[in-house]
Amino acid sequence: MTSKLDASQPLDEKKLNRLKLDILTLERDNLRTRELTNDEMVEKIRKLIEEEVMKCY
Amino acid sequence: MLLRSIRFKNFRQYKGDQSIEFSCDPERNVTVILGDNTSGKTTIVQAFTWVLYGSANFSSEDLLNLDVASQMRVGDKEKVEVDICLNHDNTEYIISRYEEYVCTGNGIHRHQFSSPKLFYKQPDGQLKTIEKVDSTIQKILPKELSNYFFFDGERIETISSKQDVTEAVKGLLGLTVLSNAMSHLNPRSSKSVIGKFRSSMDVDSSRKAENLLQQIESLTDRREYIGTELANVEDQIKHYEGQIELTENILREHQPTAILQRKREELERNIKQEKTALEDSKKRLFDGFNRNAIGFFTQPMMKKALECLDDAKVSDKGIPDMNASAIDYIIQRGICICGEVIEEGSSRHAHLIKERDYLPPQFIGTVIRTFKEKISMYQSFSEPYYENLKSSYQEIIRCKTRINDWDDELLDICDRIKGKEDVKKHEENLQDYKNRLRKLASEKDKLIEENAKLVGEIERLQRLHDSLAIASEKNTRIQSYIRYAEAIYEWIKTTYESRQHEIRQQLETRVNNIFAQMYHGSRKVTINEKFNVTLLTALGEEEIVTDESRGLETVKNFAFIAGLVDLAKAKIKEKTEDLEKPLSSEPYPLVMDAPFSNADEKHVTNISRILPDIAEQVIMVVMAKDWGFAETVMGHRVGKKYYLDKKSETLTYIKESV
Amino acid sequence: MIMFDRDYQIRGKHATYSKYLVKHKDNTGAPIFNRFIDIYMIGAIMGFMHGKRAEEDNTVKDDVSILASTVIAEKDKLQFIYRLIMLLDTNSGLTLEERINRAFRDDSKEETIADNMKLFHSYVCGGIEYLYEKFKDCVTNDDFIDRIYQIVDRFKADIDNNLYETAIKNIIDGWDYAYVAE
Repeated sequence: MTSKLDASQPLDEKKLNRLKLDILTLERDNLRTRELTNDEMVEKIRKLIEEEVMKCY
Repeated sequence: MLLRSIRFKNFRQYKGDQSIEFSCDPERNVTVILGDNTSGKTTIVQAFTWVLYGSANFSSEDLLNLDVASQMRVGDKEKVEVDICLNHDNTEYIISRYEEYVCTGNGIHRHQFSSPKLFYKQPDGQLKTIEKVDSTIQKILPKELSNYFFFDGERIETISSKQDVTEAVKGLLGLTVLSNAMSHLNPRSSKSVIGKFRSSMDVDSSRKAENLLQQIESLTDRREYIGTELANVEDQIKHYEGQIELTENILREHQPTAILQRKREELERNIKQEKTALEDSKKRLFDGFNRNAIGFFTQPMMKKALECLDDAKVSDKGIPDMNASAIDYIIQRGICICGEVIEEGSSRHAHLIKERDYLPPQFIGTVIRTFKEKISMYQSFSEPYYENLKSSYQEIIRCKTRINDWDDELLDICDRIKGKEDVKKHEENLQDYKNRLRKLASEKDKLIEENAKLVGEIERLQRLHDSLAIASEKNTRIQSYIRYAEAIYEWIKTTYESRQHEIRQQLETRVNNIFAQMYHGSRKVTINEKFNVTLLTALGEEEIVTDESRGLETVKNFAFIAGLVDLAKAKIKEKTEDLEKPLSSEPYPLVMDAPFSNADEKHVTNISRILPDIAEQVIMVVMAKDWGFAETVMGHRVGKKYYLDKKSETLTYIKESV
Repeated sequence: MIMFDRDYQIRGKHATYSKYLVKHKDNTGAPIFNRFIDIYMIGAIMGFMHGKRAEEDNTVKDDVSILASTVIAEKDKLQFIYRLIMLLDTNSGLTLEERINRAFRDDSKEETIADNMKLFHSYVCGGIEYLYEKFKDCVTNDDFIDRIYQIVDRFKADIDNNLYETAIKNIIDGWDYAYVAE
């Protein structure tokens, strides 16, 4: 299943939207709790993207 | 956020335990607290900021009620405490702050300092402590925004026009989420998600790639630093702009004084110069008197002397080349040149003696001639002597008159200036500020320029770095991540920009609506990217910025606050279907100290009509005389009413009105 | 010349008056005359013109010294004044010719010199008294300035008009100069 990794392939809309939601939710929650530092936030978002892109569903 | 209650214990005038319950009724959402000046009105509003942030503008630092303090004996301890109970985000919070005072031999001192405590109510009713007090308070009501909700009537001028409220308003209006996400994803930074993806890619392990990464890293750091510096410089610029405006206002006010001061300086200079000239003139007079006084005062004598000498007709009568001793010889020998005998006592003898008198050294013709020459010399001096003395004297008189006149004028001016500020100092300050501003502006330009260069440089390096990426499965994968991340970033950016624009327009519209209801006239309000509010007058086709009277300023700022609060109430829905949760924000109450203090009756009416509708909860501390009028308009919206019963300078009781 | 070649002392009250009228180096004293020799000279003139003579005074103990060097330096002026007075003083009953001689010939005659100088000095003292009277009520610099101007101005007015003709007559006849002291 390497097609999704092909650079010429268009981006999956569903994945994009899920990611948008997850990232924004993460940001909003952190605004409330202020638990995570900037670096920690970057780490978390990175992991979100990695996971979502690699999903097969 | 809804305020439920506030409780005081020995806090300033409020001795013992006293509390206020705020109306949370959505229909009758106004709580009114009546009090006259010095009864403790301001204390109540400032208590809020004290509890929340530990700061307040009290004139004396001691918060302990003075009655209580005076009763303390050495060793006694007393507590000052204020609690606020509020609802936020469906949670009930209690924020509490206290200070402990102890009485020592040296008087009463603060023993333990203000420390805040934060609790929230769990579903079972139990109170649970929250550790991160300050940061939680910051998210409930950020300090930067507190000025908008804890409202001091006196500060109303500064609120909407001078400060950069962008960040604070963004927070209030829910744009911070987007902006944070953008900064976390930022493709231009090496520390962001995208940056980290990039750097995790396998590259040709030559030094080149490593170097590039290092360079990108350091340039990014530099950009961060520039960002901070820029913010710093911009703060300073704002500060000096403010100072300049303040100083220019002062100078304008004191323009007449400035003119008078300059006149005074001029007069002082002139007087000083004139006094020197006066002294010179006096000296000239004395010198003139002494010099050639002889020639002057002997004039009559000289005139007479000439007459005498003319009468006497003393002339050269002597026999040439003969002197007195020759005659002596002849007399002694007894025989004249002519051969005649000279006898003592004879007429010949007498005659010879007489002749002798005309001969040197008996001969006085020369002496007399010299004498006459001297006379004519002195005479020639006499006219100038008198004229010079006279003109010196007249000059002296003139100088004195001038000096007196100027002294009088000076006295008058000093009287008029007395008590007014020294304008010169302000003029110097103004120059200083302007210089600094110029320097800062060029600094700012330099920083911006450098930043732009860095951006370009970073991009170039990143492209270079990417080009070094070797084809591998890992890299392909990572490139996917990057594509998604970039796409999301772009989307967020576009959304943010249009959101911000929309919010600004919405805010402008709402503020104008509210403004129009409060003020009837041909004016409207405009809001710029920094969320500063300016009043425009529609003057034909043009819309220009106008000077504002205080009353109008008050109304404008009220409208802004109201608009802000109104907008915060509204939910901003995201247009994408998949997103269920809107980017919402909490409504806020308005707590106001003397809100009508600067508005006239007409405006009071208009403001009173609007207020209850634009905020979730309105809490007002007013003077009875101001309330009377407002009550006729908003009385029916009042849910709770209190009055401050001032018993003495040190004691006030909060009583509920029925 | 055996006059104006030695120290001169002003004594008694005339010394006191002189000190009053002379501006001292430290700027105290009436700022009218710069030096004592100046008072001496102007005193002689004023004394003669107002017909005032005075004997050397010893009612008070005071004196003022004028150094020989100063006197000699001003010999020219002193002689001039001396000659004027000797020529014009009519109180000794001398004829014009005698006065001319007194003024111009007597320089080397020791006997007469002494008398002449006595006369001269009496006018000096008289003049000092006259000046003192004129200025004694002045207090400030400005007072002195005003007074100086008054004196000069009045003097000028007097000598400019034809009253002088009468004054001449008076000089010859006795003494009653039109310029009356105030």
